[in-house]
Amino acid sequence: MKKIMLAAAATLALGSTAMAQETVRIATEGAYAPWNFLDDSGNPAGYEIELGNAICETAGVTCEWIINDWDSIIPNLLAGNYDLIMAGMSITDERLQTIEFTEPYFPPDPSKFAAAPGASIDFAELSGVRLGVQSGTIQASYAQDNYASANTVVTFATADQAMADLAAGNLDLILADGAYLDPVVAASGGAFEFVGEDILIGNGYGGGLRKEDTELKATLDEALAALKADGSVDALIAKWFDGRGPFFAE
Amino acid sequence: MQHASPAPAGSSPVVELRGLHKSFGALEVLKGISFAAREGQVISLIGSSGSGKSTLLRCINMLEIPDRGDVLIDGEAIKLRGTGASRQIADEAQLRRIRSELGMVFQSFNLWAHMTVLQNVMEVPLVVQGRQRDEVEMEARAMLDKVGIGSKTDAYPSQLSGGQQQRAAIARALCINPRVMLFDEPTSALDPELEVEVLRVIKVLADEGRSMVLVTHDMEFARSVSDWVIFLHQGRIEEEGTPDDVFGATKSARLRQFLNAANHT
Amino acid sequence: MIEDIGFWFSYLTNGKHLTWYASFQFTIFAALMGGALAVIFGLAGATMKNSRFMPLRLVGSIYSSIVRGVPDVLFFLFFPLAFEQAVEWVVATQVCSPEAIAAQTAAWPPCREANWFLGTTEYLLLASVSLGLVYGAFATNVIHGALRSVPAGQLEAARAYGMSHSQVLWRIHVRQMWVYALPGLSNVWMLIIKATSLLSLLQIADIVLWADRLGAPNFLPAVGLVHEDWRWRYYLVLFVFYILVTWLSEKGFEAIMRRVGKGILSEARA
Repeated sequence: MKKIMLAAAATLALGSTAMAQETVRIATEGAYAPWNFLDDSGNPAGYEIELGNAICETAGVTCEWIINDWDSIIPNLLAGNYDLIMAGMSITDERLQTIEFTEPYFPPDPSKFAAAPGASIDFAELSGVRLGVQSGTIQASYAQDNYASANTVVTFATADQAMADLAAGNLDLILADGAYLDPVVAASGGAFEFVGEDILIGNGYGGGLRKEDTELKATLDEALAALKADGSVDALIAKWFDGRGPFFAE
Repeated sequence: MQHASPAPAGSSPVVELRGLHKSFGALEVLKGISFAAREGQVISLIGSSGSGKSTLLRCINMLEIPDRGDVLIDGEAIKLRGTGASRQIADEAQLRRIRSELGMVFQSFNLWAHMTVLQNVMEVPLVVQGRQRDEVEMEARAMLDKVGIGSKTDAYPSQLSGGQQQRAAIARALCINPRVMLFDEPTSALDPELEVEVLRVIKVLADEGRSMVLVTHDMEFARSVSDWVIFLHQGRIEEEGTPDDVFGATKSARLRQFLNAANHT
Repeated sequence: MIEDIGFWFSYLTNGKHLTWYASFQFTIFAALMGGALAVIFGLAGATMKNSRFMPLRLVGSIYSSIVRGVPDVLFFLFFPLAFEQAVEWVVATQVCSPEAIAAQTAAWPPCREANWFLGTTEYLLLASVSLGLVYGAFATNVIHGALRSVPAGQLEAARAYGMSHSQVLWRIHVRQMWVYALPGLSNVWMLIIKATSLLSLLQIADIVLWADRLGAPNFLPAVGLVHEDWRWRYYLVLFVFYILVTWLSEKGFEAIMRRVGKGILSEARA
């Protein structure tokens, strides 16, 4: 954290045009395992961290990671606090109105419902249910649009907090990225189970960029394409998601 | 006892008041007072409460600013500007210099509570007069011995009796080497048995030939200590003279009435 | 048993936990700095309220009455943001070329060169100033009242002996004021300490934020120790910390009180 602090101060001193410098500052949330989290030493780790570092290496630029709350991650990109977001962010039309995305670095992934075992939930007529989502996610807007009228949609700052409340019995149901829920449900030892039908929202996960940084987007996309072509991306997905996909190679 | 004697030619009075007027709102407290105190003279101001005697004393060091008239210390007029109620000090530096030579003793002592007795006595010489600490401390201890509380130097005012506090306050006034001592009813806040010890100290100072202006309600003491007595009535000098004249051969009916009343209390 | 102790020791001393322990410095710094500024603003505010000059008196009164009513959370969010944008606005008038403004897609700042990236240090300073401003308004009232509690006769005596305005103010008035102000100021200090728990609102990775992160349930062995929601355990540590600070503060204030109250406290008791 201290390193990040110092680095932030240093970049402030150097000025903040992305392409004028060799360093690309990448923001992540640090609370969305296995995409991104803080390891035991307190440093950012996870799929996106390894992938981001690989992209930077391929593109020949230096990367620097900044932890930023999920809620303010897009505004702070626009303000110029950093140049790229890699934080398990789905590419959606709504977000494309304000920012640009790299090509997806994680394939479209169905969103899933999880609940405590034995819960009887009538998905045909979902009503009176306390449904937990992380605020500012595609699931949050989906739940708002489809379930808010007959149910209580509860939003959380992080996905982990939503899971904690489900475990504590404060929620009946959670809607989240399948790739986030898969390992959690698997590791829960029966404390959670998947229910209902999966829903496909979003167009895969990509890195968020300012619209005017076209040069940076080109550089990153080129490096990403190379890593997809030589199988590195799929290898990282396999490593971080227990060998489960989805993969880019069919 | 010394008697008022004509001033040597060419030397100014220590304190001189010329035509002082002072009003508080619509109430005119001083209606044109003049007098002069020469070096070594002890002047007592007497009169009933509300006669303006305390206000007059407080005008000498400008704790009250007179609406009209002048105050001269050693012939130097304290500079004022403006007129009437809005009259102000014109030269703060001059006033501070003059004040640091006027040793005021208050009815309620007004020792600084956060300082020991010794610190109280040394404060003005060190901070205002800028004198040497060693010299000041020696003098301060001597003054405290003189007023009889040399053993209380490290006590705080709150740990002393009223009489001891007032004696410490007198030592504080003495330590600035004052041109004149101003006493504002110095024993009014004291029990009779404590009054004595303070009066004894003041008497010693008077006998040493210190210049003093004393506001008091104690007629017996005023008679024994003063060279000159001034009786104020409703903001004017009703009668003045040597103690023997004022107390022994009273001319004014009002003074006679006042003295009768004072004797019966 | 030994293994257990070893395990917990290494868990509690891993990098995340060490960062948590280190983050206590932010809280302590913000409290001390905020407290010092609150006293300075309080002295300034009280002096203004006592001023002979009408506009200053008005500023002092408005400050102490208005700011006291503003919730600290609100001011905490408002002040740093307003300050940042004000600085960026000033910088923007100097550095932004018309092309840069045209190229800027975000609503703020006007151009990217004018962006001021606030790191922990900057936010910590702004947080301290916010605390100082909010609680300085309380301190203004406390100090204003305490200044009036100093016996007028002692101030008059100081003037009568030729002390200047500033000598009377600092050597007698303010010096004795502390005795009357300290009980009130110690309350203000307790409020400041409580308000330091808001630091995480300003993106400062403080003790509360780390307690949240460390206590959050973890389901994945790859991430670290798998555990359920442990936040209450970490919050408990924060409770103990704040109670300890409160207790120490009380001891501290008692000691200061004994020092500055010499001669005055016994008088008050008598």
